[in-house]
Amino acid sequence: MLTRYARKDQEPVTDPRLASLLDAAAAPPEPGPASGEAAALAAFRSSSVAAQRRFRMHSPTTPLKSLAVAAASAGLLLTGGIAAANAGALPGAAQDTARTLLGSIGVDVPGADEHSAGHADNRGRSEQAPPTGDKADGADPESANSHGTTVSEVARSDESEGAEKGQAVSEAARTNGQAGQHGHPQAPEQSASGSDQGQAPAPAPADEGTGGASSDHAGVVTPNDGGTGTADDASADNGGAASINGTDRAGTASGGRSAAGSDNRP
Amino acid sequence: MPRSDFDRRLAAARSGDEASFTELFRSVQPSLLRYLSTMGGPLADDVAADTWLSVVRGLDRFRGDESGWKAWVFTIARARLVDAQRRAARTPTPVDTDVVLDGCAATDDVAGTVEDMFSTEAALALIGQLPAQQAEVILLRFVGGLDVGQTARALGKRPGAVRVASHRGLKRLAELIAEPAVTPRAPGTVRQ
Repeated sequence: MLTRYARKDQEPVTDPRLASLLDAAAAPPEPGPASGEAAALAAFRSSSVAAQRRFRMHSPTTPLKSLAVAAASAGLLLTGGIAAANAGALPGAAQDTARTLLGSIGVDVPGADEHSAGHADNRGRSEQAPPTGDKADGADPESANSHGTTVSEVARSDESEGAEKGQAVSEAARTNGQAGQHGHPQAPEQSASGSDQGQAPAPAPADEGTGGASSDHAGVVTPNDGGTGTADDASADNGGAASINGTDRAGTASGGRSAAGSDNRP
Repeated sequence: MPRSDFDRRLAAARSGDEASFTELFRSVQPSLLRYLSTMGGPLADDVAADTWLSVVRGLDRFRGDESGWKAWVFTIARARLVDAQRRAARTPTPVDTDVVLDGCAATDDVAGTVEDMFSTEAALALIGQLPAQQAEVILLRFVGGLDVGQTARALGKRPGAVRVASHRGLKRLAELIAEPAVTPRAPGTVRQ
């Protein structure tokens, strides 16, 4: 008895009265329900019921009901989608996809561009756009570049010197500059071809080109007959100096073929 | 590894078996009530009910053997007791009662009569005369059956402090018993 409390790590109790006291304090309870047992069991039952209720909430106890709800939702979504596709109310890509899918099962729905009158097909092709801006009605850039080349060649030419050369350069710059500004990019080419034609012995076109205007605008208004002929006519009317100027002017306006034109002088 | 009876009862109680829970309850409740009545007086029944409510809620979280089960329940009970005492905002009031030891024969044959000297109530009343910390340690260790480590964890103290308190409490109890006129206080009247 006295060694009862020497178990575990408890101090051994050697005093018999103290041991008796501790025995009495820890005496086994009387058999039967302990005090507070009913309340504890009630708490236990409520906790168990709550746990079972929670288990039921998380358990798939109604798979058929869940399946029915899922099927109804899917059917509603499908019906709504088909109706929207039939009305052409879906976004463009979705409408095209719906048309493809439904068309495979024989259901015809409008495409995405059904109501666009073809406008949607004409979008986004820049190469088909009409020309705009300076390129449409402006001067040819190549002509502008050739103008500088022509003036430069006249300036480097050894055919004249001093005041005559300066005058020839001035005339070349002024004449071709006016041609470019007025948007006649074909004039140098026409003059060039005229220069070539000027090598031919036939004088008839030159005669036709000896209108009154040709003496003032030999390099510009002479259409096809070549600057040489015009220059000759001008020189016939105005004497030797004018003939030289006219020849130079025609050659300058002929797009860099002034040498040939000069050689054709009589 | 074979499962003990306690493990089987615990598993059955977790699955909702009332009989198993009742066995677990009866294995702790008597000593728990003695501890609570000694330390909390009239708060004991309410604190015990709160304790078992917490035990039921946390039954699935408990891990341990039977010894650990008792320590777990006592730890919960002590926390609930402290809460209840704070709510009551009162300390145990000494109450003059009849001497529990009245009728206990004073005899020299201590060994032969010691079994009849103390009733459980009288023993708890004597323990209740100890300082609160010593009384609590004595109750947890000798009534609740907790070891030093479990008692220390339940009280939030070091094991050394528990041993010291236990030694001093036993010594003081021996002194109380040796006094010619033992007038134990009513349960729940421990000195703070």
